Amino acid sequence: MRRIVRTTLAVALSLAACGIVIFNHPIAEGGSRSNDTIQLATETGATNLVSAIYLGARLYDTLFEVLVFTVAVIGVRFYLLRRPSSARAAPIPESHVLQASAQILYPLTLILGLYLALFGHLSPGGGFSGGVVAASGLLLCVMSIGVETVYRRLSGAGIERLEWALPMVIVVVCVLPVLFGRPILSSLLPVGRAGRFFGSSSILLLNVLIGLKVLIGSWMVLYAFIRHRGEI
Amino acid sequence: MGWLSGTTVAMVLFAVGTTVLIVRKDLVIKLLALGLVNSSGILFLISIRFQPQMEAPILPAKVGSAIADPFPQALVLSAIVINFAILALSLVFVMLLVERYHSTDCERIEHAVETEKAMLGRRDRTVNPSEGDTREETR
Amino acid sequence: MILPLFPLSHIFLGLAAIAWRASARATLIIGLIVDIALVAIAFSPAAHCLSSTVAGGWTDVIGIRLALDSLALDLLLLTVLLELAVIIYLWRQRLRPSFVILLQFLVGAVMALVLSQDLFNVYVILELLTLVSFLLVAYDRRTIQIWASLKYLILASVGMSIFLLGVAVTYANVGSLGLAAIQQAVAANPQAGWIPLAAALLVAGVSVKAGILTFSLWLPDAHSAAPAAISAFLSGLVIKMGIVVLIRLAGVFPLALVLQILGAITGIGGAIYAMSSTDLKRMLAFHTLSQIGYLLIGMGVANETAARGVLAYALAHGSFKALLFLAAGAAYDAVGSTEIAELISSRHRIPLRTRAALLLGTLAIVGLPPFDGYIAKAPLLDAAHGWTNQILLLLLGIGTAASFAKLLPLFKGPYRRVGNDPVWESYVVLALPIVLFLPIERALFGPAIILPAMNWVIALESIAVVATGWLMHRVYRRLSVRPSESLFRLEPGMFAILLGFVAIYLLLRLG
Repeated sequence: MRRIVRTTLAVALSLAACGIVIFNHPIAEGGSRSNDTIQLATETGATNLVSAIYLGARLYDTLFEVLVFTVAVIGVRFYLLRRPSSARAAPIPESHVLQASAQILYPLTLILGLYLALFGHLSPGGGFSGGVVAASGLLLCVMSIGVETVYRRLSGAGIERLEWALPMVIVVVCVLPVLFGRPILSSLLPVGRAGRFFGSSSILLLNVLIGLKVLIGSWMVLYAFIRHRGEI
Repeated sequence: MGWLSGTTVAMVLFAVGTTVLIVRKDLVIKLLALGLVNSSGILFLISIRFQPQMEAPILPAKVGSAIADPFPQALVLSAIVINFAILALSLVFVMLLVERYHSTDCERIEHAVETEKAMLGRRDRTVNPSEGDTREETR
Repeated sequence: MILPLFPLSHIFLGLAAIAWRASARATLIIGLIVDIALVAIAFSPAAHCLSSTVAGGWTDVIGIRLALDSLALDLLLLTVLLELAVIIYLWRQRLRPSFVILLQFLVGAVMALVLSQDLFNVYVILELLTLVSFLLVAYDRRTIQIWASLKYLILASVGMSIFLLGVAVTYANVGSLGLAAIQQAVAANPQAGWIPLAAALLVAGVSVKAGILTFSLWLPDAHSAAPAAISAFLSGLVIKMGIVVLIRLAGVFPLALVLQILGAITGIGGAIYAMSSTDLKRMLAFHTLSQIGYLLIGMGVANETAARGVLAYALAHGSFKALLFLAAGAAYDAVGSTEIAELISSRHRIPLRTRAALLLGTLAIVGLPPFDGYIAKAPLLDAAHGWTNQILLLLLGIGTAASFAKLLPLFKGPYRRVGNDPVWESYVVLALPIVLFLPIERALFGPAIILPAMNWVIALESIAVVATGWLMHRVYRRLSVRPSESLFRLEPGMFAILLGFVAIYLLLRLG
């Protein structure tokens, strides 16, 4: 009986909240500011206007968001890596079809991730999506080679230090313009004609840095979850 | 079909998410509902300035058509990363709790935690009694 | 031009510490020195170079504006104070690199939030604060902490989702997210339909983090389960962040009535739970809720004196709450329990200086003159016009005094010296503002802020309130009424958030 009361109340409250928002908010607002958008493109040199905003005007927000990602990686590693590893847990079932197809797919996925990060200022994509796609490429690689092999090959390359160094480089790139007399968080590299690969001030650089950071961070999280998957 | 816009769908999903978050007892399902609530917020954010005949905000645009507002889409990128972080960390904590109590039932865990709290001296057990270095934790 | 350096320096330092395995103590000291330097610049007459800027030099419509107003100065000072005290408290313990980096991120995020004048920036920084404090609360990895943290994360994340909906509605109707632009849009058309909706969403969202009773049902568990230094930071500083956002919102939307009602509920509810609590840290956490009620009522009154009172009280509350939490942590280390009955019966084992710190904190929090609790509450008592506000504030004072009367037996003899107390310097750091609040406030914010405290009537009122409270404690003990603790589980928390949003919306619509 109590359960029915609680369920009804929950449904009623949620619908009330939802209804308040729907009935007060006009259905489909129009509007994009056409002259603003052209101005954004010429000021930053990027034709992907979304990149121009989140790596140009709102770089301060993006910086904190990279920090949120870093904190997530720190948290997952701190809380998972101190437990005994799951050598006793059931092994992940290996399927030959999966292994064979992963062997073909993972180079393609890695290249796709690289493309998304590099060309994020010209077409949809950007650092975050490129990094995530590349991380799923790494996951496919794990499916084809095995998780410990990939871990051994990657951890020898100083990947941990790189993971912490990358946000520091991003912060330095943000602060560096101050030394040259420009306002902080603006860009130092020159702005070329909009639409060329190298003409995008510092957006290309930031995309690559963020893509690398997301790739390494996601790999750390994935490895922690695979290695310490625990048992019920 | 004027009512079937992104904002309406987003709010319906929000209502479903909050209902499931309250009603269901399983912690993993609560987390899924939390993800649904967060995603509905994101859907709401990108559909406030969008009409079906608008183009993507990539120049050069088709002549004579309006471009969707890129500003909310930039905000959504941050929101997605934040949701990923929340999901990952809450999954880790659920994993630690499940390992300790061997159940994903929210009520059982709450009851067990409150019983432990009421024990005299509040010397509750750590998650991994076998780990030696939890003795020297910072305070 | 250099305003973003306040948070960025901490972030850089934290990352450098973990990248190069730097010594934890060196990192903390460097961070503290940089902070003191920056805050000194902020307070000096050369502060014109720190005036409001838009990050990156973009226009106000798209860009993010940062500004250093008196609220920001106040909280930056509190941040430096708490940083110093916590560093001394943690000095002799073994600190892991992950702890140091999380602490640096916490301080950096707090500084970024007080400087920010843009709604979405506030959202991102609040989420960062949620995640970092969630990780720090459960740092000892005890089961109680893990469950309290998880509850905190789920409720805070739902609240922030609601906040995001509010940001979306605001953007759809204003076209920009800077506070100045929103203020102009609201002033241009005060009866528009979107205003109650956006205000209700934003307020409901941020109240989950601000420590308002109906929304923050995670607070008692999380703040009492956390390690002592983290509790001090959370109760003293991070809760104020939600209040800062509410203050910014109150400057834009018409929120006076809502804030007063929320303040009343929080203050009285917190006081009732505190009076019937038997665990020291939990009682302190309930008191945080109650003191937030003071701040909210002050914000709701909305005149000059009340605004000054809110500034002073934010600073004062941070200092004495942190002192109480740090001393409670030291007492736990000595006795092994935080139950008040056990502390009283084993009080000979608690170091003398810790007991002195608890005494000082108690006197400050109940509002006895001449300590800083009284000096900060005086403007609020002075500014509260109307019967309801006066009675509310008096009731809150009585409730606070009544619940702290439980600690009085702790300060009776025996007074043997027990061992040495390794953290007493941090008590001194926090005790200085408590005792010397009068000259500090006068020097920083001008003489107007301390004028109400010099009023004999208000001083006598405060002493009477404290005495009444201590008498009432005896009466209350006979009654043995225990309000239900099952309010602080996960489902009631969710219910309360949704219900609160609907209630605030109706209040704004009809008020």
